[in-house]
Amino acid sequence: MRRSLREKMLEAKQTMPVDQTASLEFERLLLWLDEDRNKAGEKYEQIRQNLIDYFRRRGALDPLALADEVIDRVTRRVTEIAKDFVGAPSYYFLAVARRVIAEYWRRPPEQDLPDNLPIFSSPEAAERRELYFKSLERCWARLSAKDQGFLLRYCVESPPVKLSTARNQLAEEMGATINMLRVMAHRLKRRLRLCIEGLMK
Amino acid sequence: MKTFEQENQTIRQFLLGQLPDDQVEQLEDRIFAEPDFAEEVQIVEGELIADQQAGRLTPQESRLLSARYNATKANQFNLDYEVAFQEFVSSKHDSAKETLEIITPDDSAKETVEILRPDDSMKETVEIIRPPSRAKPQPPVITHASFWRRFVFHFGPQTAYATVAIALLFLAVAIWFFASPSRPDLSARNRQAVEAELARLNSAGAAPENILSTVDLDVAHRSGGAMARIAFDTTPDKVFEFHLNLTQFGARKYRVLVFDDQRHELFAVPNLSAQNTESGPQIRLLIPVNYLKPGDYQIDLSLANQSGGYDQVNSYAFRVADPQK
Repeated sequence: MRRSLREKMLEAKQTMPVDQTASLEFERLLLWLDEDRNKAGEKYEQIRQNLIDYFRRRGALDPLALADEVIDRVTRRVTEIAKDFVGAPSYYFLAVARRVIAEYWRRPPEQDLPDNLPIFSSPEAAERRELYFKSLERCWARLSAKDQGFLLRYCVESPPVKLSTARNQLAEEMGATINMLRVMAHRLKRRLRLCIEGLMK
Repeated sequence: MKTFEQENQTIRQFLLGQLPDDQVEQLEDRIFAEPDFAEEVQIVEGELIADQQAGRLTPQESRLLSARYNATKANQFNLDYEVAFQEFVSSKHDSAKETLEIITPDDSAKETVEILRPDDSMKETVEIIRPPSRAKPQPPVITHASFWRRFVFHFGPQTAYATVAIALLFLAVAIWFFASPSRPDLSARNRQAVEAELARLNSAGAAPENILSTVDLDVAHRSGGAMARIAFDTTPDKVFEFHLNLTQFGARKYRVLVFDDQRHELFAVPNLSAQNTESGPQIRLLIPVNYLKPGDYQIDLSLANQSGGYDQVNSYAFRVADPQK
């Protein structure tokens, strides 16, 4: 399950004094990432997301668990790492992630996957789709009318006008480059996704 | 320094698993070092999935992406989200359009059409109120006589009449071409292109809104029985979804051959997989509606054997009926 920095800190506080060492190590980890606590929090979230994406793209079955495993390993050794390591901490996380995925592939498989996973609607998939739609509806309502209008124009093709043509036109109207539009659309989609994940928890 | 297109291409190759290991490592280093680059990779990932949904990937790219994104639940979640998002915004877009098109009724712009549903069972009459800008335009008044006189005057009567004759001939050929019931069918088309499109469609799947109807086909018996019927349609981008029911599940690959009523082989779709569903094992086959003109069809289903060939296992039959006739 996804744990934000805040949740992890709360969890660490709740477990004190039994798990006081873990909490202190985590504080040291944040300090190693950045002296500014807010920036440290942002860097932590960025690294965690990169780790999840890394394991997901490598085909691991549980990327979240592996990402947390990397963070735990680094956190446990942060005092000695911080003394000697030169460079951006994110590289260290990546190096540990590479070790973790190598170990992961050496583990015996927990379950055999079928040769061909179903690609069409199972009742479960239909339920999930409905749940997505309901959540999307609620999260969509939280976007401003301007953002909604932007996403509709950026993401949906209205024949006979090609999507690429419509996007160029939109960029011109907004006085932005296509690349800026891509980033804007991605960030809005990510906001929606985080909102959906929050509702589905 | 790489251009935007080159970098985009490298990221695509990375996501499809086509980059050599050393380049993969370099790219991963950049993802961890540069938050903007990590975001760019996420953007391209979303675009790849959207491109696949819209059928803009090559068959190979589509296969590679499906192999990656159907393999684990975490990736499947990503895929599901992108697909759900695309469907959601499309539905929002359509409803927004409908809202915008509510206009004050104007009798001159009203038009009544009869909608015939595919199963022939229901007819309904709908009154369409066209917005003023889309109301049927009045035919323009052309002063044929003066134009004709000027034409004859300039080119002489022989040239003028010859031009008219050629234009009429051209018009007749065009009418024959578009209205003839024996328009070039699949056998006359480029079969290779048709099969490539079918392979792409059946590997990538179709968006639910593009599926015109779903037909369950049981194994055809010599003793006959009711033949499955589907309504003829030519709507672009729409597909028929056939569920070929199996008597037993096979993990190997299946191939489908489609024949017309004269037993002419129309096209083949290899590399199909059986799925276990609530109604038993099935194979899902997608065929664009405009590949099937009215008539009877037979589907022969074969299973890949050890020697690389195929053994026929079942046959299915269906009829495409034209509701207009």
